[in-house]
Amino acid sequence: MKTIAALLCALPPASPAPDPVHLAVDPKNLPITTGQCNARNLSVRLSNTSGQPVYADAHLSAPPALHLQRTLVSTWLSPGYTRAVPVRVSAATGTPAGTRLVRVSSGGQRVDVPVTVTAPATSAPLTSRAARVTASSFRAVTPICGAADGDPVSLWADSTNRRWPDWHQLDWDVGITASRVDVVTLPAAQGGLRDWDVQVWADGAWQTVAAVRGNTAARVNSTFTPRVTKAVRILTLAGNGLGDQSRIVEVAVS
Amino acid sequence: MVNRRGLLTMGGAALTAALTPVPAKAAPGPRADPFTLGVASGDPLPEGVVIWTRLAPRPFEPAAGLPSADFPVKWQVAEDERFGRVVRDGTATAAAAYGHSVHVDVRGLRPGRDYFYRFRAGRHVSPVGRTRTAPGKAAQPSKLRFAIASCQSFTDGWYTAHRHLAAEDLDVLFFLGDYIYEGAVDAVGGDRHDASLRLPDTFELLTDTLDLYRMRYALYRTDPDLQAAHAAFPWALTWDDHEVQDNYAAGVPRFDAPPADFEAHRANAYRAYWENQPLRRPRQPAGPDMALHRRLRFGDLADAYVLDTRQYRADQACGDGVRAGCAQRDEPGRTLLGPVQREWLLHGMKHSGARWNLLAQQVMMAECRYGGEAGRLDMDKWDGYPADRTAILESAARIPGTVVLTGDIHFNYAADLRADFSRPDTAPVAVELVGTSITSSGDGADVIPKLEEQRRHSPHLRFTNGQRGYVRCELTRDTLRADFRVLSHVTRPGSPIITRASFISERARPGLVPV
Repeated sequence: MKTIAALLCALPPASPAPDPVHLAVDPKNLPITTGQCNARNLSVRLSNTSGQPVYADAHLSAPPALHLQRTLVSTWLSPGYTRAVPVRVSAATGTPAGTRLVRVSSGGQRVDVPVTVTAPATSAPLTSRAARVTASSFRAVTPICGAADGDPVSLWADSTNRRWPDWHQLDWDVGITASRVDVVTLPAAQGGLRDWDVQVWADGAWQTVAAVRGNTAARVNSTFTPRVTKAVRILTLAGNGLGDQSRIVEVAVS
Repeated sequence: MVNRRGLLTMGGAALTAALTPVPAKAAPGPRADPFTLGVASGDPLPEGVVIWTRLAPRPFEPAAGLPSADFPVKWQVAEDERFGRVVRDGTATAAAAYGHSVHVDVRGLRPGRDYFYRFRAGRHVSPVGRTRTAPGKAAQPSKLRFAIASCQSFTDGWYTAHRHLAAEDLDVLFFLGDYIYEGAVDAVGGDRHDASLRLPDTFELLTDTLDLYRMRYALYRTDPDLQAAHAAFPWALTWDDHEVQDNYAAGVPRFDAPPADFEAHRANAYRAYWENQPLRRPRQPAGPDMALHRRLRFGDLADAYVLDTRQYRADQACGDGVRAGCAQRDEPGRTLLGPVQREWLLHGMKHSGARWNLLAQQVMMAECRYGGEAGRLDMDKWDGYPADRTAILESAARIPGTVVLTGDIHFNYAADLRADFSRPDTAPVAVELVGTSITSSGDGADVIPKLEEQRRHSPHLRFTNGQRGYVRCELTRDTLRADFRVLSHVTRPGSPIITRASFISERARPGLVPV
């Protein structure tokens, strides 16, 4: 048998040296309140200070009380370029108050960010006190918490165009009393919600406490007889065109 | 030198002892099974093929659960499935810098032959893959069997089509893009509703950095049906847009972003693509650039031009989308292929000498009128770049045997290609097979009103269908046969497959005729 050496494609690492890369993390301190949708972002910035392109890694770690949506950032950096990557930091409902460190490292560099965890105030809106927020589906740019973070810019949208119904749900660890649900959606011209039911969980089933039909407004308040419940959901039935999606900017329960 | 031919027939303990010394900077083999992503082969030549694997003991974790160390990986190529006749072997490096991927450009094989291959890392042995070399350069094959597949959004359903593909007897599979999708994947894999998956919320992020792309490829490649199709025959792959971002055009992202950010985004995406596909070393990207277009030859029967219609294109005309009366699409200098690739293709077609020229590419070349407002055309397709299309079809008019193979739009089409689509009375100069998706867009339906409307406005569209599946083809010296293979559903596993329609086109007289 003739011996012909196979050509191996695996190569030595491409520019592995981390030294040309500068690591920075903002902010220097991060206060968060417990709850899935009360997360805040750390910005991990990797800067290539050399004249050559490099691949760089940043590793993140935290104690179990904190949840990091990602623990690694790897990216190509052209000379002089800075890549800023947001990393979501959260603490589950019930996490004891205190300060924990998120450690970010790249090559020989290390940055520790103190994260101060507190529970939401008892006077805080019920949405921000929800222990779990879920939805039938979502998109990366319109995540579930987009409708439960108090941010008037972010929103939740489902990922199943033209398929109905969809739902968006808030759960609490303890019973709350609800008598009003405000749904902020988009104006009809921007594809806001048209039809939906407001439901509360009671007696082992979803009970519809309000129904909205033919809506074109960006904000709708639904009031109903006060109910003690541990879950509220918006069951969406139709939208106003534009891909025929469910779009909710915020759900407020009171 | 260890006699590796007998290596894998030894007992485990003896085998471990017989491993070649570990390089100074390399780690010993991983403890858990690292072959969770299967094996693959690609880009067959008469004398060789690329074999691929990637070590990933915990595929849903960053870095797939491996430390930042390199691992030696032994490989073997044999003439028989039991590896009694090993003809080539060696040791490659699964480098951390390359996501622990392994690409071996195996040479010294015989043309037109089946081979079997496998890898070993520490005490773990990979699944066995089967591959097939291309016929010799001077060979005159009587036939070539291939299939086209594309668009396999993980969240849209199960890869049943790949399970059926794996049972086909193919010389090569052309995968025409959208191997991964960049959007969020929830814990149960979207419409798969697979509670056993339990994906971490890292998968909810848009892919834009190298670590996220590596994780995304790992997720897709854990699918056993996809692994079976990769292990059954060599693939020749190209990408479309979702390997980077929906409808990007060269350096222009779909959404506003600083150019430097998108340059890094593209570099990360291209790097992960090379790492995760059976591609040769010269295809490896340099930052945000990666030359993917190439020619594969199958004796004198067919030359396959694997094209890239994303990296070099002008931005979509008139703001993209389906437009009527867009004069910008006709502006001089607008190109889908880029001038270098276009000239390479036209020169290759002209001087090919093969009986057939296959153009394995992404977006629909046939004119496709959407109805409604008169003359609406999709600016992302060749309809948005008519100058390049005209150049190719004018060449095809002079060179018999041009077949365009297409993916992208999640529908099946069989199309006759004319130099002037407004002249249905003229003879076709080539044919196009647009293959539907593996999963993207979900279950689908046989009859889609939009497609019926398109057929009314575009008489050269001979067939349309909106189900999932692939197109199986057989080339002989004088005819092309295409079988459109479709599934009844993908949101549940286990769909049977049927041949929904079959067509034949003659090399000397192009035009798709139902069988």
